[in-house]
Amino acid sequence: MSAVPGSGRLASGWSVVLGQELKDLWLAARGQALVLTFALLLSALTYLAAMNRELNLLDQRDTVNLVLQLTLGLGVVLALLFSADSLSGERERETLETLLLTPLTPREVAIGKLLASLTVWPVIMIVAVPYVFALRVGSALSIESIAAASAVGSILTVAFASFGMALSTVSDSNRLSLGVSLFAFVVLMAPTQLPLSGWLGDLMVSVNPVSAGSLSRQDRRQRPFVGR
Amino acid sequence: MRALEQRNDATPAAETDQAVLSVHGISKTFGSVAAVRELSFEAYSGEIIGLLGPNGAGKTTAMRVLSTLLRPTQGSFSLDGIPHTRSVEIRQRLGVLPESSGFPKHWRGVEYIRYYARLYRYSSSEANKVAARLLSEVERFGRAKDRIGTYSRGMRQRLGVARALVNIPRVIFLDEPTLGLDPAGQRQMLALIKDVAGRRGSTVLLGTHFLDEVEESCSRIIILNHGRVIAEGLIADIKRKAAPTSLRVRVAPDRRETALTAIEQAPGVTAAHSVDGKADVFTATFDAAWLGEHGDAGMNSAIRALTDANVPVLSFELEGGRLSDAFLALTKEDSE
Repeated sequence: MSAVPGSGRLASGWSVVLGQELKDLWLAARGQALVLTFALLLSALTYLAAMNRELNLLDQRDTVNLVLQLTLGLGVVLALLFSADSLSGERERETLETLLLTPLTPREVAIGKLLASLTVWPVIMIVAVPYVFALRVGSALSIESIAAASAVGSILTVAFASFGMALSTVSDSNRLSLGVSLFAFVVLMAPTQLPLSGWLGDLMVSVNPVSAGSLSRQDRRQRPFVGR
Repeated sequence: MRALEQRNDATPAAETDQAVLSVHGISKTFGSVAAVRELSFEAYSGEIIGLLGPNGAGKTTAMRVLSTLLRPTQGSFSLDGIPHTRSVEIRQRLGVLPESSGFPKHWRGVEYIRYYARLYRYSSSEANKVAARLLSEVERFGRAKDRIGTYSRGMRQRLGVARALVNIPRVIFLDEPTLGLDPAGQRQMLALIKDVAGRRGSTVLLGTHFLDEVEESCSRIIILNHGRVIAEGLIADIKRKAAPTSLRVRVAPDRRETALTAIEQAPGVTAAHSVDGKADVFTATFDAAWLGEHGDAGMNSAIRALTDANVPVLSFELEGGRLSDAFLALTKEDSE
């Protein structure tokens, strides 16, 4: 496509979409409410764990694990839902057609929207890290395990957000796209909460990205202390 | 901005009488259903062409094919000489206001136009200028900085037109632009469309059900029915062919025989007969070619013939000859 010459620097199509999506997500009430709610949830959890040891049934390490698991689950599911909503939502709100009538290719539109939904994970992680650090004081939890959680979360977020985007591309209904995404997430999340054993259990845990990621993160958690 | 204007002005179509939009035998089928069949026409710079048809005639599908949202099953088209296969370049030169165009309600009007300007590869500062200029030209209600959710339907339509003009398009497709607007809003929208075609030299393809606005603003029309073109050409020609103008005249009852003879012999009249069994009311039908040559004033020949025969004329009115008559006649004929 021939770009229009001008005085300013020209941005590629996907980056314009990305910029607007980021603005919509993080500068509008939706993103801010999300961050605030998550921070309040972690604050309550941390407060209970740190201040009310008599009532806290989890040991310190398990509390940190719970926070990391919550962060991972929330980050992945939000990225999944945002990407699942991105194209089918625009289609339902009748704003997609005008976007596709611009010189952008559908791929550029999808890339811009996918990248915007991926930003949920780092933001959620940034919110969670101070709480994890506060909770790990005095425990033998390694920094490496936090880094491992970040890496696993990043991989899972990319995978699930891409899945959500693929659904959003083919689905005419936003409800269908969001419903199928959420169902897939719950189905894949279930093995992490179930007592699976034997070779079939191992196989199910290994092939399932969520349970395999969770297992990998827990393996890291068992490693010797290398942080503080 | 200026660069884009220069680029568009330098196209061959602007310099010559070459068609800006050339459509050759476009067909679009969905499974076994043919939504558009063998659509062919040419459109020139500054023309406003009405695309008419009953519901389900294929107007919107035709526009979606021509705006590269759908691939034609058969046929081809070119815009400014660019073949339809180069869809990104086509869209660079095209402005579209779709029939059901949604707006992000939480955005501000100016933010919306600026975003679309950026999507058309304007730099950030150019996009600001484009948004300010277009909104001052098109919006005209001083609410560019308000949220779109607070706009009336008319304001949103004008905002949609502003968006369609962001890239200074060579061709603009407007699908039902006045739907849901009050009479004042419709009038403003038509004035805007005429301004776009007249001042900017853009070609406008106007899809609508409102035949009055077509008569007021379009130079040519294309009538679709069941996906097929059933009439194409100048409005006046189509009206003459499909809805010949007739004359209804009432005379003194005692002079009816003289009156009928006089009307039958008047120049241009092909037939005359009494109406609904009323002996004193006659209808005279004129030859379309003769009327084409003499214009509507040619029908005065019937009055002249009556006065020359000393027949007192009690009432005189024209019938038919409206676009709505032609439209109904053509679509009914085609359906039969």
